[in-house]
Amino acid sequence: MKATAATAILALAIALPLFGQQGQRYETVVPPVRFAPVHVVIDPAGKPLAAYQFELKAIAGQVKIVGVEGGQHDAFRTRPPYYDPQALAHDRIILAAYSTDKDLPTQATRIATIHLQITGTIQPEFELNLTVASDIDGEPIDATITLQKGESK
Amino acid sequence: METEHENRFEADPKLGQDLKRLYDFGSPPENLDRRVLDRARVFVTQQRRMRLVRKIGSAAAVAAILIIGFTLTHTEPPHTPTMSVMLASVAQDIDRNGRVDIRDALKLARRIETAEPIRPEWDLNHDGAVDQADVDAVAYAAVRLKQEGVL
Repeated sequence: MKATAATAILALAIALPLFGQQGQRYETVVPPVRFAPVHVVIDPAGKPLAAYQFELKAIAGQVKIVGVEGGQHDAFRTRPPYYDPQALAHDRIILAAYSTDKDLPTQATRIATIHLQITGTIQPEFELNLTVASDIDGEPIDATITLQKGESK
Repeated sequence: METEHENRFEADPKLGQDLKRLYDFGSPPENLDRRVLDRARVFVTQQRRMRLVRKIGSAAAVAAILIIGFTLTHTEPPHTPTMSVMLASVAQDIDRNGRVDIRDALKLARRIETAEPIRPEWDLNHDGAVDQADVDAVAYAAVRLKQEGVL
């Protein structure tokens, strides 16, 4: 008798919420995904830039690094920059390159383009840290680094 | 069906006397009930105590298992670079400034290009020659996301 009553109560407890859900509609919200490049520009302030190394880290938004492109100056275009392949599909990368060419950039130049996959509507923000900027002898030069956001696709 | 013999059964008086002699233990002591009750209480108290000890022991065992499991899964091993990794890092630190960065690759590349003296320890891939592959090894070490310690 008790077992029958308990079974009936259990069945009701399971069935009632199901009846309550009839007529409700559930939709799966897929967050928007877009691809956008960010251009990294270094201004060596008149000194010939032979080597650079920087770290880029996303501090806001859902970002994945999907590709890396070399710079616009010949010294940094022919050879792709060095980076850890593990950085791909993550939100942090250390990028570096050197050139022993005679013709080195002395003015602001795009040294790399990083392609990103951005998920969601939150505008990504980045932390950019130039750890090395040197001349051909490896001596540090007083350079500045900036990030330019490219057009989303 | 009852027989006439069963209805008229009477015990032999001598048998009755013998049985009385055999099974007559006298009246029970006055405090027997109390003593039985006391013993029962002691037994029940001991049982309860044992049950409590068992419960506390089980709970402590479960807690210990959970703590050990959490500790094992959430504790990273201490960062102790192996001797080979430390030696490799020292070799990659071409300019001996205590860190490996792209300037080390630049300096090694320049030495190779200008045919300056090359140290044998810069043969990082151990192929018998110090060349572009070794420069690349230094550069990749510089950009590795998990940096190893340098002596």
